[in-house]
Amino acid sequence: MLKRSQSRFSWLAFAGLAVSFTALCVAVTRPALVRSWLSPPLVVLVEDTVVLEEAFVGTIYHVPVPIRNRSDRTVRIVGGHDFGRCGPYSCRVMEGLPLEIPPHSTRYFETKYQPSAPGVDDTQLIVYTDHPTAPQLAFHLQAQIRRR
Amino acid sequence: MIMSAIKSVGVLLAPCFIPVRAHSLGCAGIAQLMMLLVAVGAFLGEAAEGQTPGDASKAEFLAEYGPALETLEERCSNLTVRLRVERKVHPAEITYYIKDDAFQSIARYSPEKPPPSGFEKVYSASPGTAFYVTSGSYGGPYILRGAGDDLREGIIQRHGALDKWMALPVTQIHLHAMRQLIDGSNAQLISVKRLQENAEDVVEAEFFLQYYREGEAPPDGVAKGSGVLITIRFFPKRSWVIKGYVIKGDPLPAGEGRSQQTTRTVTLNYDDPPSTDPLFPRRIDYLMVNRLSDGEIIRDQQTIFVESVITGDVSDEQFTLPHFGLPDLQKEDGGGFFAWFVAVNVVIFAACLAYLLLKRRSAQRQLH
Repeated sequence: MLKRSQSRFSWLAFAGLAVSFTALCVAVTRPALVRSWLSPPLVVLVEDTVVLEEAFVGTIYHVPVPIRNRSDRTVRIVGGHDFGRCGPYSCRVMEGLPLEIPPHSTRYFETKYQPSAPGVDDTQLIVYTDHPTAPQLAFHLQAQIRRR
Repeated sequence: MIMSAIKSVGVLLAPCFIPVRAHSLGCAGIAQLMMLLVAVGAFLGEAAEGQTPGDASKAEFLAEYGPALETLEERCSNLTVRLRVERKVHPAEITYYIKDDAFQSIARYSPEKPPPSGFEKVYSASPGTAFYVTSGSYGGPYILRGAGDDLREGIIQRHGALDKWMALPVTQIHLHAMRQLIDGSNAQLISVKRLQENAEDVVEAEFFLQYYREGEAPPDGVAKGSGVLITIRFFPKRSWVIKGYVIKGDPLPAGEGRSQQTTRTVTLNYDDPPSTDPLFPRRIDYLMVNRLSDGEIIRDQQTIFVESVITGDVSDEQFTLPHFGLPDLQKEDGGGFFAWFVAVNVVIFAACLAYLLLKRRSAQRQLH
């Protein structure tokens, strides 16, 4: 009986040794990964990709982008990077900024989107917040652009 | 100088002494022989030096301008320059802040003709950070429109470089623009001329600056080896301040299958007689002519008035986001949690190892 429990402890000790050794190796080689796992963002974009199923050249769209504050304090969206506003397929401007989001709630900001050439558009945009766990959040704006 | 005099004398007289005969050597013969030796020496001297008069004037220019540039860099390492820019589109008041390698421009647009981005636009690039902010009113609140290391190069190249070339004659910055021309691997000094204009000495230096760095592939649509030809005129007797410059670019892609060729002409107007600080002009005339491949010509004419130049007032804080009421974009890295994570795992590791070692020792004792 004693022998069996001792052997079980040995297995546990081996397992503990392996797990802690692996954890330490990861902490040493990939500290950023561990840090982000230990401190998850408390402000998140509800969707990583906002899709416009069909968009027509020359039409202006106001695309709402939801953003959620999971923290206990009011968060301010201090800006957005629209990467030079115009690309090969479209022009876009983030509007309604700066924006305040109360604790544990969701708000929308708008991206003014104007397609300029037919094709498949995929643009990455960045939102800046004043919350230290999520200073910047990236999302994609995708659209299938056609001529009317 | 002496060598070139010997060369010219030697080369001119050398043909006269070629039919020298041994029996004719007398006093005149010795003189002829000496002249022949001078001619040979001149030939050898020229071969050894391998320099053209153009090379000599370039070396002379670099030797004179190098120390002058260093002095100007020292004098312009901490500056606040306020300008009033008169132009048809978006007239503005622009303030440049310069501190060592950090650079910032704040443009406050006229309320009658502001651009869509708002009443104020700030570009900032320093070794630690780079950002671009705008404001819908004067003095904020500011909206962050871009930040990060990857933006720095873009700001310097797209906005900073152009603005720097605008600010260059005003502030005599030379920090990047002139240093890049003198030391840059993608820049080349082509020629140097010494002129007289209105009874004043003027030095004209012509540079070629490639659009991309040496060893890098040219960007999309940019022809290999293309760049800008920059002709700068200096006043060598007034601390080498710039009198004016012309930048003529090779064609660049302009979208929709078109290309554009840009020429910028800038003339500086100093106080005459020189004011208390003769480094800075009072007015700058700027003309940009952009020729598109389909024949369209776009002209941008501006007159820039230097309102004030202040030295020594710029602090490092100027180049930070909190200066504009914005948060630092440092991500909370779970520092405390990370330390706990490592400590707990070290303890588990040590405990498990100790248990297994002790167990092994007790098993060995039992065997004995």
